[in-house]
Amino acid sequence: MKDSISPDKKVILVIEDEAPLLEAIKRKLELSGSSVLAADTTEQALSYLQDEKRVDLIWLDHYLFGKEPGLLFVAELKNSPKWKSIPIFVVSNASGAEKKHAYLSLGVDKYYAKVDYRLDQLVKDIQGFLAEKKE
Amino acid sequence: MVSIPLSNFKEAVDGSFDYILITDPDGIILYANSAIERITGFTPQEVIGKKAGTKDLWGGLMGKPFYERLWKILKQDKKPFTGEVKNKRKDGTLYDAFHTITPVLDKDGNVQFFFEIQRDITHDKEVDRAKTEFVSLASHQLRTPLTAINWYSEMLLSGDVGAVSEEQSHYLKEIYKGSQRMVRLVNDLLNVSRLEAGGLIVEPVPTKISSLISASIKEGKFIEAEREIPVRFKNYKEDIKLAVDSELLSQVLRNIINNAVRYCSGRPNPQVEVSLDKRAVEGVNSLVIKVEDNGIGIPKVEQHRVFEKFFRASNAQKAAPGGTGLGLYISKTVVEKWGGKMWFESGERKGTIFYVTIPLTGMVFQKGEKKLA
Repeated sequence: MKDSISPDKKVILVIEDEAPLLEAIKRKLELSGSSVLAADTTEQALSYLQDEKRVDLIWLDHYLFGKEPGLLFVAELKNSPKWKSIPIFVVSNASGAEKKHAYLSLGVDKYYAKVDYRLDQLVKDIQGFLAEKKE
Repeated sequence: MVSIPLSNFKEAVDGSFDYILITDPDGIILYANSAIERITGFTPQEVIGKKAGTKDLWGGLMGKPFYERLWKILKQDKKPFTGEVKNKRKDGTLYDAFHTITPVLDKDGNVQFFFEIQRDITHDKEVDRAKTEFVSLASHQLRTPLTAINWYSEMLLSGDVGAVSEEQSHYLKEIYKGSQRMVRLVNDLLNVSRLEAGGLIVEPVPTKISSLISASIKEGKFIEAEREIPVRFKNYKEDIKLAVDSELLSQVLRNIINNAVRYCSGRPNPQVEVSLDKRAVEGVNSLVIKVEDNGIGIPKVEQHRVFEKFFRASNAQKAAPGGTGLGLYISKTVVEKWGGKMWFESGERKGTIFYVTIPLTGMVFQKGEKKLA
């Protein structure tokens, strides 16, 4: 699923186990000019991170295969000197502010309830966030 | 009336499925039927002569305010007390019960004895919990396919995979709107199931109220039928600082303001005004938040049902068919959890004013387990 990455494009790693959603996210991000690494498990995401020189942002779903893999994945990233500064947007259908607080306290940058947001809004937020970071 | 021998009454009471207890005015047990053993594990012989509702027997778990209220109602007001209690059986296991305690008075109005009937409702509560969990689970499962419908129709409408004709776009908009309506319903159902599971977390933190209200108004985009409705905030002279759970307060506010906007959008010169006041409400010094609109109002004959689950006034259904009928039920439940009150005044075709209060001592902290979805 890996595409060749041009150096001037933002690289977004998307982790989402629902194939139709992953496809839509990938397409929308690519249309906005980003490169997408699409993973449906956190294991696959970790192998991308090990291979790639650069990932600008991670889009992470909460409900993936296994038990709380999203939270464990964030904890692992935040403990790694190499990866801890990669921004993370959690986009999840997990309900309730408890999950949101759990992720935010682990150091993710944004938390969205998937069903409440338009895809173009999410993509716009990501672009805004990365542009601001660059300045 | 057919006369029944007194012994029949005794047999009925002895054999009752609910436990029946008679105590003296100080709560010392004079009589207990056999059901007491099935429910609490203590035999009638073990409990007679002891004080009811204490830790030595099956009670004492409800905390001081509960028992103070109970004794006030029974001894001072001399009224029956009903409610749910959590109790502990002889073997240490907990159970839920519904009980009624009735003071029996002599002809001078003094308490002669108390009469208690208690039913074990542990099983009913479990069934209720299972039902709530089912609603929550089902709502969750609906969110993923709804997201797919939302995002794909959105992309088609944006022309991401090529232009669509005007007619196709119209059809797609209907799909999108239908899906959005279902999202609102699923979110509201999730919140209802969370509230009904009990244990809503209320975490009050000192907060500047006016700033929070201004922010809630700014964040919410109050657009109905592609027209922006002005929402004015008449600021209080000082920015009052109160301990509130800001997430809960903004959720309730957004809900009420959204309604105000929705139900005045079709009327001439629609406007919504939010204002603040400090006064005593039912004996509690409170901050009163007032949300006033000049919309369709609520028909008088339907006003008493407005806070019912799924209820929608006839004119509201016509004006906004997409509503869930859950928003006000959710809001009122939340407001009462934080120790406030919520009510309204309304005139058909004149408008509606909703009032929400927060005690000036701050929202009541609730340890709880759940936040809203």
